[in-house]
Amino acid sequence: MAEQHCIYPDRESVLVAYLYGDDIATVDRVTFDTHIATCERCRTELADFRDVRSNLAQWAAPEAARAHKSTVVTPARWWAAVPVWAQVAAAMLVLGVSASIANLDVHYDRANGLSVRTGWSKPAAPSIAAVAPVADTNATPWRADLAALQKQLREEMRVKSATVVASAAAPVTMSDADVRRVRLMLDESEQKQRSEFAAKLVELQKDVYVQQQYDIARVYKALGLMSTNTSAEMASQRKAISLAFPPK
Amino acid sequence: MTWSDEELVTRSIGGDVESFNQLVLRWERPIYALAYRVIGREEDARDVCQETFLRAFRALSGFRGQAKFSSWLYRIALNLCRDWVRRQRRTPVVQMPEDVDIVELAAAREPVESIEDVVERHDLTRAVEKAMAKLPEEQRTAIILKEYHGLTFQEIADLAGCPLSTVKTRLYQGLAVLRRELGKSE
Repeated sequence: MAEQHCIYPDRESVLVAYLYGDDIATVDRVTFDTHIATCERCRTELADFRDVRSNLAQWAAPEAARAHKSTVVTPARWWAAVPVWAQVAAAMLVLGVSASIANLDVHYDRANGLSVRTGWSKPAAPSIAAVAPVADTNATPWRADLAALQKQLREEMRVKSATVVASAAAPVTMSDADVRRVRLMLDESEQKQRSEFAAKLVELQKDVYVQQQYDIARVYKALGLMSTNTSAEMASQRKAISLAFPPK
Repeated sequence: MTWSDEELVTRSIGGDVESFNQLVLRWERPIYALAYRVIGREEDARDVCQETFLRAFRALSGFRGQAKFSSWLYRIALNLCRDWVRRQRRTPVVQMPEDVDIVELAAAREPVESIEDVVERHDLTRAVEKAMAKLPEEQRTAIILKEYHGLTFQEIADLAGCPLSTVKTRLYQGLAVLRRELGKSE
């Protein structure tokens, strides 16, 4: 059927504005009201668009919270407020101090390439060691302090590790009350797991039942559709036959 | 006490992270729904949602309050969706895994709703999704913003950066396509 012609000015915009009740003056609304009373095309289109809108309302987005990856931000680190140049300067300072503590020795020559080593890993060189201490001590008096500090730290670490080993080797003794408490906790945990398992099983059964019902409903629906199509097909065939062989 | 978006933004700019978290909690659902309906994939919609808030957080000091906070957020999300669509270079297709969906749908049904109703609703949802996937991006976005987010024509025009009349045309054309497509599936 040919669509009825409509010459309402700016028809599409007015129709959309009327449909949503947005950006339309009262006078325009009243005018369009009068128009659709007589224009079948606009009336039908408006009704169809309203149907479309009610169908659109059925489309729900999946639950966001269920699968939400936490977007909530955590407080910024304190150093985020420090300017970048200050952070770089601090990093350089730390690097410099670490290098001097480690007595870093960076050396490059064509034969050996780049070599980096710390002062503590230097091989013993008696001839140099015999001469160097006096000069070294004068040049960097803090080295002696550092060596003493290192020695002290090693001593403390040795004592500490000995204590840890000793405590690990000591037998663990539990009182009866502790044992009972642990048993109780184990029993509770087992009980909880059993109930969770049972709940899951029930849920699974329910899901299977729902799926079955859904499949059955679909099959019925498909069968209904098929039967309607078959009836229509038979009717049209009957009509064709009666046209081809009209009753005498 | 309930703060307005703008008050929470001001407090966030002042360094109150908790205020920004409140904005996230308030707007994550609409932004996720917008992203999901535009790009049609749950996982990617979640990524877009997350990225929207991260960008908003980073750019918060630049928010001058000329527009509503929600409009500003929608703009960021839509730009990300647009980038996503371009990157994918394909028509967005809403994915609905059959096996998972129906069980979830049935579990979420109203107690008074029969299985037939569930099937009906499910079929209609799929039909709407398919019809929406047929729309060009501009029309789909206009319809989503109008139907599901209740934005005015003017707000949509501001977000899309186009004249108001164009928004109306996009809506009209989009609805006409949906009318045809949904008519076919009935």
